[in-house]
Amino acid sequence: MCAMSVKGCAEVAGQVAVGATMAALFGLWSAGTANARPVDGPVSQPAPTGSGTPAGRTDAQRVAEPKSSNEEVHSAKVYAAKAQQNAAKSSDKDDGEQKAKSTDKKGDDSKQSKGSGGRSSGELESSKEEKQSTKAQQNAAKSSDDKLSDDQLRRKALSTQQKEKTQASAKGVGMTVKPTSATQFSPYTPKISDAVGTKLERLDRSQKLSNTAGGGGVAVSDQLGEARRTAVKPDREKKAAEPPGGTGAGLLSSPILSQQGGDASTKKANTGSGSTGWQSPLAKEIRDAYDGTAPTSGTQPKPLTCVVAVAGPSCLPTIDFGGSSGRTSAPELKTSDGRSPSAGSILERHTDSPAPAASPKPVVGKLQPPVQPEPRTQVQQNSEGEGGKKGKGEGGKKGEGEGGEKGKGTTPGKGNGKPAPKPKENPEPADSAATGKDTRSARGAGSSDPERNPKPGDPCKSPKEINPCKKAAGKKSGADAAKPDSENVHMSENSPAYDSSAPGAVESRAPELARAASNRALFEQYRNILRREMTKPYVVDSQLRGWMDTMWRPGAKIGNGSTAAAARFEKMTGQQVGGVWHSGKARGFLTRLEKWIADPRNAEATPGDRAAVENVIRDLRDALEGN
Amino acid sequence: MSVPSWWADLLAASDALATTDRAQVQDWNSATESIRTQKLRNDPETAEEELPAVDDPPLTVRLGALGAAFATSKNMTNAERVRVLAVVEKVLDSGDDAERTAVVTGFLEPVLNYSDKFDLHALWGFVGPLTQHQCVELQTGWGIDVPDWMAAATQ
Repeated sequence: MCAMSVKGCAEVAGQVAVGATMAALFGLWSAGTANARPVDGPVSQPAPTGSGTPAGRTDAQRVAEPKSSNEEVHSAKVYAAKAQQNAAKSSDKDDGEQKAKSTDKKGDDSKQSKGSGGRSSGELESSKEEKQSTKAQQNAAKSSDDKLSDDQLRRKALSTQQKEKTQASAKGVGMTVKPTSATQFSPYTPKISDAVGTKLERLDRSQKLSNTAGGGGVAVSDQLGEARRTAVKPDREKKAAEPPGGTGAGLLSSPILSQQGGDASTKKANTGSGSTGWQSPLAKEIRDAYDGTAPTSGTQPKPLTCVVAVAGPSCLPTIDFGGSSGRTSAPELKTSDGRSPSAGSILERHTDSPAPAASPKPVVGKLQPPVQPEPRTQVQQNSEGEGGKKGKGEGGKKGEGEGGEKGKGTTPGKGNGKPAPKPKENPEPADSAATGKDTRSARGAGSSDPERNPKPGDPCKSPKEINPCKKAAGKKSGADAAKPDSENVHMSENSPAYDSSAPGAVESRAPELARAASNRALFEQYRNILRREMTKPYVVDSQLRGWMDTMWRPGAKIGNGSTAAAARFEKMTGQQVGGVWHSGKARGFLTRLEKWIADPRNAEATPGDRAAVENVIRDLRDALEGN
Repeated sequence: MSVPSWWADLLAASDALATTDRAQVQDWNSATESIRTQKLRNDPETAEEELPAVDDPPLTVRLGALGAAFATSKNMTNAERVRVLAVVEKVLDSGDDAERTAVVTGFLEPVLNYSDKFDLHALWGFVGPLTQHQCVELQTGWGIDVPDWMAAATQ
């Protein structure tokens, strides 16, 4: 503590001496310039916290100083002597008084800041020296005249300039070597990550940082105040003078740190005029990764465009960096290490993707449902293979770049402008996917969807409408197994494949529902079976509920326990149920239920009640008819 | 099936059953009238044969309503129930097959169906032997477990 107090005195004295010297110089230079209003000199002003000056250091730093107390006392004496000499020469009286006051104040502050620790002999000596320096300053103040007030003003201006320079360098140093910043961004790898989401995240972070540092780096400097306090050291100043990303700054290889590490001028150069984070180096890097072209004057990002995800269409925020209209190159995403981005397997860009040469209509900027304009058969898929290019996004939505009309592909393909290959009479069976000849991987112009682009030999990774795995799971057997996959294509209602009479069309198959509808009798039989097995229906009407309770026997093992079941059983077996015939009861309730359903007053009954009554009537009729 | 002769005895045994039967008949007649009116409104020249006849509701349905009221009515006393069971025993003893079938399927089955709401065990001692035998046979015929108190009485 003693050493610290002595050092504080020495600092004050040294500052006084420096100020006096500079005042003398200014007095020579600006002699005759009088009537300047005296202001507080830089000597009397305490050094701002965090300005990088020794006065701004913490007590712990001061304690950590290797100097001994004797050395400090000696230096304090020297400073005090110089101060006395200089002050006697050049300081005016009033200014000297102010200096003395401020020095006293400083000394008091320093005493207070030293805490309440025990006083040593060195501290007593330092207090003596402090008194001496105070006396000297008071003498100097007495001997100074009013002329030098102007000099002090100029002195202050010079000191302010020096402070600003020191702060500016401290900012740069702080941003460069701040250990907390390294910790903060340590998870961040300077390379462009694989996923687009990571790119976007980084872009957001860079935007935030650029916005934060937009005010001349003040905010950043505030965040890095700890490093700023250590920035006054000469070696750190050298590092601060180094450009961002320079030597010894591994973190500066990060675009973010490079950006934030730069001073205001560097940042301005990076961000351009009036731009936000979009023009930052990171944004530029990502933009180049997308389209390989740097924008000329794009200051605002284009609106987000929609993409089609693997699991279906969705409107994910994808960055359109502009300049898409004239682009002809495929915007393949590549990381800095040249690998294909994993996001390519997640997102398929259909926005402004430059269509391949075969793609007639690139879809721009809107969500496109997965429309299948034509049913795609095996032959067609084979014929359209050249239309699209493997990869992702080039072909736009699926269905583009088709090679043939349908089925046998007798018309010239849109995709490559060439006539479709000669149609095959017998399309390849489903096993052809395993041979590697299946060009479904090129279908949809190179969709990255693994489901759409199955790997050769992996029939399970087939398009949605073709699922050989399901068919192989049991549905496909016997003669069906010999049918090609082209006949197993699911066809929608507006599918032209329904027109089986069309020339070159593959023999169409009716959908399963249509097949089911074609045999109504079987369907009715099925419904009758279900009706026989139905449990006691729940009805709202109390009268109906009473009738249902009368007709259904809980826990019965004859059919579903209904009167109709008993009547059916009696008709089938000729045996009574419970020693009596139930057909009379069934007939009586049938009559009653028919009247209930015919009653116009019950037209407003709930649909459930009416449906239940109708089903029971049908069941009773069937039972009485022996069905 | 016309109204049997013992019907009046049955309704006389319990006011609750009589009330229920009146409501049933009234509802039946009202439905018949509504249907006739609607048909005549739609086609005034509809023949009388095509219109629903004004008749009584089916006997099994009427007995079913009485059986439900016998099991669930709170206004019915056990004395009334005993008197009703006595009429049922009489029908099973002296009625024809149709009458007996109607009583068993129309009345006894609903009473047994409401076993979760009505405990016949309390009145089992007042139930005639034919009625008891028929109840056990109904339970057995439907594949429903016969309670011990019911099975023991018949042995």
